[in-house]
Amino acid sequence: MAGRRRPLRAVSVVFAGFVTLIVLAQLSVHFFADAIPKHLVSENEAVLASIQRTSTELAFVSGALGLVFAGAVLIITRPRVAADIDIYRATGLPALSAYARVVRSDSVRPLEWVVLATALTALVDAHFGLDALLPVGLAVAFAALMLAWLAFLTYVSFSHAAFEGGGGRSG
Amino acid sequence: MTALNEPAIVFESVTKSYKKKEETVTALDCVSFTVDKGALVAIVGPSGSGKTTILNLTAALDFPTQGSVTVAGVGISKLAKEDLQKFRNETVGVIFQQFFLIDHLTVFENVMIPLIPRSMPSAEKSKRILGAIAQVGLESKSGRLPSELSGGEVQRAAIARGIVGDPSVLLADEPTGNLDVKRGLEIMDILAMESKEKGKTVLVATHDLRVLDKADGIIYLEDGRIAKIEGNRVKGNGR
Repeated sequence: MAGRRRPLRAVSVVFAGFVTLIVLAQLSVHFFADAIPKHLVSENEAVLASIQRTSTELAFVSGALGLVFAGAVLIITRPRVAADIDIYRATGLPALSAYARVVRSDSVRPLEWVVLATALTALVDAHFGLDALLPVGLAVAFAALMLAWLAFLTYVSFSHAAFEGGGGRSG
Repeated sequence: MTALNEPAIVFESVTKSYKKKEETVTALDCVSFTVDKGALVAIVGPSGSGKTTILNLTAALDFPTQGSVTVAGVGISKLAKEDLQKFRNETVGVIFQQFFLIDHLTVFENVMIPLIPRSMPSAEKSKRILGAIAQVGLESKSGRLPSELSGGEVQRAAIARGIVGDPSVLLADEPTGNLDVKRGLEIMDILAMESKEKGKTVLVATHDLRVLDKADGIIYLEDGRIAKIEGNRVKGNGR
Protein backbone atom coordinates (compact mmCIF):
# COMPACT_ATOMS: atom_id res chain seq x y z
CA MET A 1 0.00 0.00 0.00
CA ALA A 2 1.53 3.28 -1.07
CA GLY A 3 1.73 6.04 1.50
CA ARG A 4 0.07 9.39 1.11
CA ARG A 5 2.52 11.71 -0.56
CA ARG A 6 2.53 15.04 1.19
CA PRO A 7 4.99 17.47 -0.34
CA LEU A 8 5.24 19.56 2.80
CA ARG A 9 6.22 16.64 4.99
CA ALA A 10 9.85 17.09 3.93
CA VAL A 11 9.68 20.53 5.53
CA SER A 12 8.88 19.01 8.89
CA VAL A 13 11.90 16.70 8.68
CA VAL A 14 14.15 19.69 8.00
CA PHE A 15 12.55 21.60 10.82
CA ALA A 16 12.86 18.73 13.30
CA GLY A 17 16.55 18.38 12.41
CA PHE A 18 17.28 21.98 13.24
CA VAL A 19 15.28 21.97 16.45
CA THR A 20 17.39 18.98 17.46
CA LEU A 21 20.53 20.97 16.68
CA ILE A 22 19.36 23.81 18.91
CA VAL A 23 18.62 21.45 21.78
CA LEU A 24 22.00 19.76 21.34
CA ALA A 25 23.73 23.15 21.37
CA GLN A 26 21.90 24.09 24.57
CA LEU A 27 22.56 20.74 26.22
CA SER A 28 26.23 20.69 25.25
CA VAL A 29 26.99 23.85 27.17
CA HIS A 30 24.88 22.64 30.08
CA PHE A 31 26.75 19.35 30.39
CA PHE A 32 30.08 21.00 29.68
CA ALA A 33 29.48 23.49 32.49
CA ASP A 34 28.38 20.65 34.77
CA ALA A 35 31.53 18.72 33.95
CA ILE A 36 33.82 21.49 35.16
CA PRO A 37 34.66 20.88 38.82
CA LYS A 38 33.04 23.46 41.07
CA HIS A 39 36.34 24.68 42.52
CA LEU A 40 37.56 25.47 39.01
CA VAL A 41 34.46 27.36 37.93
CA SER A 42 35.40 30.53 39.75
CA GLU A 43 38.85 30.46 38.17
CA ASN A 44 37.44 29.83 34.71
CA GLU A 45 34.43 32.14 34.58
CA ALA A 46 35.72 33.83 31.47
CA VAL A 47 36.17 30.48 29.70
CA LEU A 48 32.70 29.35 30.77
CA ALA A 49 31.14 32.60 29.60
CA SER A 50 32.87 32.15 26.27
CA ILE A 51 31.51 28.61 25.93
CA GLN A 52 28.02 29.80 26.76
CA ARG A 53 28.31 32.62 24.24
CA THR A 54 29.49 30.23 21.53
CA SER A 55 26.69 27.81 22.37
CA THR A 56 24.08 30.56 22.15
CA GLU A 57 25.50 31.66 18.83
CA LEU A 58 25.37 28.07 17.58
CA ALA A 59 21.75 27.77 18.66
CA PHE A 60 20.83 31.00 16.85
CA VAL A 61 22.69 29.94 13.72
CA SER A 62 20.89 26.58 13.83
CA GLY A 63 17.59 28.37 14.14
CA ALA A 64 18.35 30.71 11.24
CA LEU A 65 19.60 27.85 9.08
CA GLY A 66 16.49 25.86 9.99
CA LEU A 67 14.29 28.64 8.69
CA VAL A 68 16.38 29.05 5.55
CA PHE A 69 16.32 25.34 4.77
CA ALA A 70 12.63 25.03 5.58
CA GLY A 71 12.05 27.99 3.25
CA ALA A 72 14.07 26.28 0.52
CA VAL A 73 12.04 23.09 0.86
CA LEU A 74 8.84 25.12 0.73
CA ILE A 75 10.00 26.68 -2.53
CA ILE A 76 11.00 23.29 -3.97
CA THR A 77 7.57 21.85 -3.19
CA ARG A 78 5.78 24.86 -4.65
CA PRO A 79 4.71 23.31 -8.01
CA ARG A 80 2.92 20.42 -6.35
CA VAL A 81 1.20 22.52 -3.72
CA ALA A 82 0.29 25.18 -6.30
CA ALA A 83 -1.20 22.48 -8.57
CA ASP A 84 -3.43 21.31 -5.73
CA ILE A 85 -4.59 24.87 -5.09
CA ASP A 86 -5.26 25.31 -8.84
CA ILE A 87 -7.52 22.27 -8.73
CA TYR A 88 -9.47 23.74 -5.82
CA ARG A 89 -9.80 27.01 -7.74
CA ALA A 90 -10.90 25.27 -10.95
CA THR A 91 -13.60 23.33 -9.13
CA GLY A 92 -15.09 26.54 -7.78
CA LEU A 93 -13.91 26.59 -4.19
CA PRO A 94 -13.53 30.05 -2.65
CA ALA A 95 -9.94 31.11 -1.87
CA LEU A 96 -10.39 30.84 1.90
CA SER A 97 -11.84 27.37 1.61
CA ALA A 98 -8.96 26.28 -0.66
CA TYR A 99 -6.44 27.71 1.82
CA ALA A 100 -8.10 25.95 4.72
CA ARG A 101 -8.05 22.66 2.84
CA VAL A 102 -4.38 22.96 1.91
CA VAL A 103 -3.46 23.83 5.50
CA ARG A 104 -5.58 21.02 6.89
CA SER A 105 -4.96 18.27 4.40
CA ASP A 106 -1.43 18.85 3.30
CA SER A 107 0.53 20.66 5.93
CA VAL A 108 -1.21 19.27 8.97
CA ARG A 109 1.71 16.89 9.51
CA PRO A 110 4.40 19.60 9.49
CA LEU A 111 2.34 21.65 11.91
CA GLU A 112 1.92 18.62 14.14
CA TRP A 113 5.68 18.11 13.99
CA VAL A 114 6.20 21.73 14.98
CA VAL A 115 4.00 21.34 18.02
CA LEU A 116 5.56 17.99 18.97
CA ALA A 117 9.17 19.12 18.53
CA THR A 118 8.50 22.33 20.41
CA ALA A 119 6.83 20.50 23.28
CA LEU A 120 9.71 18.00 23.55
CA THR A 121 12.28 20.79 23.40
CA ALA A 122 10.47 22.81 26.03
CA LEU A 123 10.33 19.72 28.27
CA VAL A 124 14.05 19.03 27.81
CA ASP A 125 14.90 22.69 28.42
CA ALA A 126 12.67 22.83 31.50
CA HIS A 127 14.21 19.62 32.86
CA PHE A 128 17.75 20.96 32.54
CA GLY A 129 16.85 24.51 33.50
CA LEU A 130 17.63 25.87 30.05
CA ASP A 131 16.07 28.72 28.11
CA ALA A 132 13.27 27.34 25.90
CA LEU A 133 12.62 30.66 24.22
CA LEU A 134 14.80 29.99 21.17
CA PRO A 135 13.33 26.65 20.04
CA VAL A 136 9.81 27.87 20.80
CA GLY A 137 10.53 31.05 18.83
CA LEU A 138 11.83 28.99 15.95
CA ALA A 139 8.72 26.83 15.97
CA VAL A 140 6.45 29.86 15.92
CA ALA A 141 8.52 31.43 13.14
CA PHE A 142 8.39 28.19 11.15
CA ALA A 143 4.63 27.82 11.54
CA ALA A 144 4.16 31.47 10.55
CA LEU A 145 6.46 30.99 7.54
CA MET A 146 4.54 27.96 6.32
CA LEU A 147 1.09 29.47 6.82
CA ALA A 148 2.19 32.71 5.15
CA TRP A 149 3.70 30.75 2.25
CA LEU A 150 0.50 28.76 1.72
CA ALA A 151 -1.51 31.98 1.89
CA PHE A 152 0.81 33.48 -0.72
CA LEU A 153 0.42 30.47 -3.04
CA THR A 154 -3.35 30.60 -2.64
CA TYR A 155 -3.37 34.31 -3.40
CA VAL A 156 -1.20 33.81 -6.49
CA SER A 157 -3.41 31.01 -7.81
CA PHE A 158 -6.66 32.87 -7.25
CA SER A 159 -5.42 36.15 -8.69
CA HIS A 160 -3.60 34.51 -11.56
CA ALA A 161 -4.67 35.59 -15.02
CA ALA A 162 -3.64 32.29 -16.60
CA PHE A 163 -4.44 28.88 -15.22
CA GLU A 164 -1.58 26.44 -14.86
CA GLY A 165 -3.43 23.42 -13.60
CA GLY A 166 -2.83 21.75 -16.92
CA GLY A 167 0.87 21.72 -16.20
CA GLY A 168 1.47 25.26 -17.36
CA ARG A 169 1.08 24.30 -20.96
CA SER A 170 -1.09 26.11 -23.42
CA GLY A 171 -1.66 23.64 -26.17
CA MET B 1 -34.52 17.78 -22.40
CA THR B 2 -32.07 20.19 -23.97
CA ALA B 3 -33.05 22.02 -27.08
CA LEU B 4 -30.86 21.03 -29.98
CA ASN B 5 -29.04 23.74 -31.91
CA GLU B 6 -29.19 26.08 -28.95
CA PRO B 7 -25.64 27.32 -28.36
CA ALA B 8 -23.99 26.21 -25.13
CA ILE B 9 -20.64 27.87 -25.83
CA VAL B 10 -20.21 31.08 -27.79
CA PHE B 11 -16.85 32.67 -28.60
CA GLU B 12 -17.19 36.06 -30.27
CA SER B 13 -14.04 37.57 -31.80
CA VAL B 14 -11.96 36.29 -28.90
CA THR B 15 -8.34 37.31 -28.73
CA LYS B 16 -6.12 36.18 -25.88
CA SER B 17 -2.65 37.61 -25.47
CA TYR B 18 -0.09 36.94 -22.75
CA LYS B 19 2.84 39.06 -21.74
CA LYS B 20 6.00 36.99 -21.55
CA LYS B 21 8.74 39.24 -20.27
CA GLU B 22 8.66 42.02 -22.84
CA GLU B 23 7.11 39.94 -25.59
CA THR B 24 3.38 39.65 -26.24
CA VAL B 25 2.25 36.17 -27.23
CA THR B 26 -1.12 35.84 -28.94
CA ALA B 27 -2.60 32.47 -27.97
CA LEU B 28 -5.93 33.11 -29.73
CA ASP B 29 -6.45 35.56 -32.54
CA CYS B 30 -10.01 36.76 -33.15
CA VAL B 31 -11.62 33.34 -32.77
CA SER B 32 -15.39 32.99 -33.16
CA PHE B 33 -17.42 29.82 -32.88
CA THR B 34 -20.55 28.39 -31.30
CA VAL B 35 -21.11 24.89 -29.96
CA ASP B 36 -24.64 23.52 -29.70
CA LYS B 37 -25.98 22.23 -26.41
CA GLY B 38 -25.36 18.53 -25.96
CA ALA B 39 -22.69 18.33 -28.67
CA LEU B 40 -19.35 16.63 -28.27
CA VAL B 41 -16.81 18.79 -30.04
CA ALA B 42 -13.12 18.11 -30.50
CA ILE B 43 -10.55 20.89 -30.70
CA VAL B 44 -7.63 19.70 -32.74
CA GLY B 45 -4.33 21.36 -33.45
CA PRO B 46 -0.62 21.22 -32.83
CA SER B 47 0.92 22.09 -29.49
CA GLY B 48 0.70 25.83 -28.91
CA SER B 49 -2.23 26.32 -31.29
CA GLY B 50 -4.54 27.54 -28.53
CA LYS B 51 -6.51 24.43 -27.54
CA THR B 52 -5.89 24.72 -23.81
CA THR B 53 -6.51 28.46 -23.94
CA ILE B 54 -10.00 27.83 -25.34
CA LEU B 55 -10.71 25.39 -22.52
CA ASN B 56 -9.38 27.81 -19.89
CA LEU B 57 -11.54 30.62 -21.25
CA THR B 58 -14.60 28.35 -21.37
CA ALA B 59 -14.00 27.33 -17.76
CA ALA B 60 -13.59 30.98 -16.72
CA LEU B 61 -10.12 30.17 -15.46
CA ASP B 62 -8.82 32.81 -17.81
CA PHE B 63 -10.39 35.79 -19.53
CA PRO B 64 -10.23 37.13 -23.08
CA THR B 65 -8.08 40.13 -23.90
CA GLN B 66 -10.70 41.10 -26.45
CA GLY B 67 -14.07 39.68 -27.43
CA SER B 68 -16.54 37.74 -25.33
CA VAL B 69 -17.09 34.19 -24.12
CA THR B 70 -20.58 33.01 -23.22
CA VAL B 71 -21.12 29.61 -21.62
CA ALA B 72 -24.60 28.29 -20.84
CA GLY B 73 -25.94 31.78 -21.38
CA VAL B 74 -23.47 33.37 -18.97
CA GLY B 75 -20.94 35.99 -20.11
CA ILE B 76 -17.85 35.03 -18.13
CA SER B 77 -16.18 38.45 -18.25
CA LYS B 78 -19.11 40.06 -16.47
CA LEU B 79 -19.21 37.66 -13.54
CA ALA B 80 -18.55 38.94 -10.02
CA LYS B 81 -16.16 36.94 -7.83
CA GLU B 82 -18.84 34.92 -6.06
CA ASP B 83 -20.70 34.25 -9.29
CA LEU B 84 -17.44 33.19 -10.90
CA GLN B 85 -16.87 30.57 -8.22
CA LYS B 86 -20.46 29.39 -8.57
CA PHE B 87 -20.02 29.19 -12.35
CA ARG B 88 -16.82 27.15 -12.04
CA ASN B 89 -18.45 24.91 -9.49
CA GLU B 90 -21.84 24.33 -11.06
CA THR B 91 -21.70 25.05 -14.77
CA VAL B 92 -18.42 23.53 -15.93
CA GLY B 93 -16.52 20.37 -15.09
CA VAL B 94 -12.85 20.34 -16.02
CA ILE B 95 -10.71 17.29 -16.71
CA PHE B 96 -7.10 18.39 -16.72
CA GLN B 97 -4.23 17.39 -18.89
CA GLN B 98 -1.90 16.88 -15.92
CA PHE B 99 -2.23 16.99 -12.16
CA PHE B 100 -5.42 15.01 -12.52
CA LEU B 101 -5.86 14.26 -8.86
CA ILE B 102 -4.56 15.50 -5.54
CA ASP B 103 -1.99 12.91 -4.49
CA HIS B 104 -2.74 12.75 -0.80
CA LEU B 105 -6.50 12.40 -1.21
CA THR B 106 -8.26 9.14 -2.00
CA VAL B 107 -10.39 8.73 -5.12
CA PHE B 108 -13.50 9.39 -3.02
CA GLU B 109 -11.98 12.54 -1.49
CA ASN B 110 -10.82 13.80 -4.89
CA VAL B 111 -14.22 13.28 -6.44
CA MET B 112 -15.79 15.05 -3.48
CA ILE B 113 -13.99 18.37 -4.13
CA PRO B 114 -16.62 20.00 -6.40
CA LEU B 115 -19.31 19.20 -3.83
CA ILE B 116 -17.50 20.92 -0.95
CA PRO B 117 -19.12 24.33 -1.55
CA ARG B 118 -22.54 22.80 -2.22
CA SER B 119 -25.06 22.97 0.55
CA MET B 120 -26.58 19.51 0.58
CA PRO B 121 -26.79 16.76 3.19
CA SER B 122 -23.61 14.71 3.49
CA ALA B 123 -25.57 11.53 2.74
CA GLU B 124 -26.66 13.06 -0.56
CA LYS B 125 -23.06 14.09 -1.28
CA SER B 126 -21.82 10.56 -0.60
CA LYS B 127 -24.52 9.12 -2.84
CA ARG B 128 -23.53 11.41 -5.71
CA ILE B 129 -19.82 10.74 -5.24
CA LEU B 130 -20.31 6.97 -5.21
CA GLY B 131 -22.63 7.28 -8.21
CA ALA B 132 -20.00 9.19 -10.20
CA ILE B 133 -17.30 6.73 -9.18
CA ALA B 134 -19.53 3.82 -10.21
CA GLN B 135 -20.27 5.48 -13.54
CA VAL B 136 -16.59 5.40 -14.43
CA GLY B 137 -16.20 1.84 -13.12
CA LEU B 138 -14.04 2.51 -10.08
CA GLU B 139 -16.42 1.26 -7.38
CA SER B 140 -13.83 -1.04 -5.87
CA LYS B 141 -11.15 1.66 -5.79
CA SER B 142 -12.85 4.59 -4.13
CA GLY B 143 -10.59 4.28 -1.08
CA ARG B 144 -7.38 4.11 -3.09
CA LEU B 145 -4.81 6.86 -3.48
CA PRO B 146 -3.95 8.07 -7.01
CA SER B 147 -0.51 6.46 -6.66
CA GLU B 148 -2.25 3.09 -6.40
CA LEU B 149 -4.16 3.50 -9.67
CA SER B 150 -3.18 2.92 -13.28
CA GLY B 151 -3.06 5.83 -15.74
CA GLY B 152 -6.49 4.94 -17.14
CA GLU B 153 -7.99 4.68 -13.66
CA VAL B 154 -6.57 8.06 -12.67
CA GLN B 155 -8.13 9.59 -15.75
CA ARG B 156 -11.47 7.92 -15.02
CA ALA B 157 -11.34 9.24 -11.45
CA ALA B 158 -10.67 12.70 -12.89
CA ILE B 159 -13.76 12.30 -15.08
CA ALA B 160 -15.78 11.27 -12.03
CA ARG B 161 -14.68 14.52 -10.37
CA GLY B 162 -15.66 16.41 -13.52
CA ILE B 163 -19.18 14.96 -13.64
CA VAL B 164 -20.04 14.65 -9.94
CA GLY B 165 -21.35 18.20 -9.75
CA ASP B 166 -23.63 17.57 -12.75
CA PRO B 167 -22.26 20.48 -14.83
CA SER B 168 -23.88 21.31 -18.14
CA VAL B 169 -20.49 21.69 -19.84
CA LEU B 170 -17.59 19.24 -19.61
CA LEU B 171 -14.11 20.30 -20.68
CA ALA B 172 -11.38 17.73 -21.20
CA ASP B 173 -7.78 18.54 -22.02
CA GLU B 174 -6.06 15.64 -23.79
CA PRO B 175 -8.10 13.06 -21.85
CA THR B 176 -6.67 10.14 -23.79
CA GLY B 177 -3.18 11.56 -24.11
CA ASN B 178 -1.14 9.01 -22.19
CA LEU B 179 -3.42 6.01 -22.55
CA ASP B 180 -3.31 2.94 -24.76
CA VAL B 181 -6.01 2.40 -27.42
CA LYS B 182 -8.36 0.37 -25.20
CA ARG B 183 -8.19 2.76 -22.23
CA GLY B 184 -8.47 5.76 -24.52
CA LEU B 185 -11.64 4.39 -26.08
CA GLU B 186 -13.11 3.70 -22.63
CA ILE B 187 -12.54 7.33 -21.68
CA MET B 188 -14.11 8.56 -24.92
CA ASP B 189 -17.11 6.26 -24.38
CA ILE B 190 -17.70 7.84 -20.99
CA LEU B 191 -17.49 11.36 -22.43
CA ALA B 192 -19.71 10.41 -25.38
CA MET B 193 -22.29 8.98 -22.99
CA GLU B 194 -22.34 12.24 -21.04
CA SER B 195 -23.08 14.04 -24.29
CA LYS B 196 -25.51 11.64 -25.96
CA GLU B 197 -27.45 10.36 -22.96
CA LYS B 198 -27.28 13.26 -20.52
CA GLY B 199 -27.25 16.13 -22.96
CA LYS B 200 -24.04 17.64 -21.64
CA THR B 201 -21.91 19.75 -23.92
CA VAL B 202 -18.43 18.26 -24.11
CA LEU B 203 -15.39 20.11 -25.43
CA VAL B 204 -12.29 17.96 -25.85
CA ALA B 205 -8.86 19.33 -26.72
CA THR B 206 -6.87 16.55 -28.30
CA HIS B 207 -4.13 15.33 -30.58
CA ASP B 208 -5.77 11.90 -30.61
CA LEU B 209 -7.53 11.01 -33.86
CA ARG B 210 -9.56 8.31 -32.07
CA VAL B 211 -11.50 11.08 -30.37
CA LEU B 212 -12.72 12.42 -33.70
CA ASP B 213 -14.85 9.33 -34.38
CA LYS B 214 -17.01 10.16 -31.37
CA ALA B 215 -17.23 13.90 -32.05
CA ASP B 216 -20.26 15.76 -33.43
CA GLY B 217 -17.96 18.52 -34.61
CA ILE B 218 -14.29 19.36 -34.96
CA ILE B 219 -12.54 22.70 -34.63
CA TYR B 220 -9.10 22.70 -36.25
CA LEU B 221 -6.74 25.31 -34.79
CA GLU B 222 -3.53 26.67 -36.23
CA ASP B 223 -1.46 29.39 -34.61
CA GLY B 224 -4.35 30.61 -32.48
CA ARG B 225 -6.82 30.78 -35.35
CA ILE B 226 -9.55 28.48 -36.56
CA ALA B 227 -8.27 26.78 -39.71
CA LYS B 228 -11.35 24.67 -40.39
CA ILE B 229 -14.60 23.56 -38.78
CA GLU B 230 -16.41 20.29 -39.44
CA GLY B 231 -19.81 19.10 -38.29
CA ASN B 232 -23.19 20.72 -38.13
CA ARG B 233 -23.31 21.27 -34.36
CA VAL B 234 -20.44 23.72 -34.31
CA LYS B 235 -20.17 26.88 -36.40
CA GLY B 236 -17.42 29.44 -36.66
CA ASN B 237 -15.03 31.62 -38.57
CA GLY B 238 -12.82 28.97 -40.16
CA ARG B 239 -10.64 30.10 -42.98
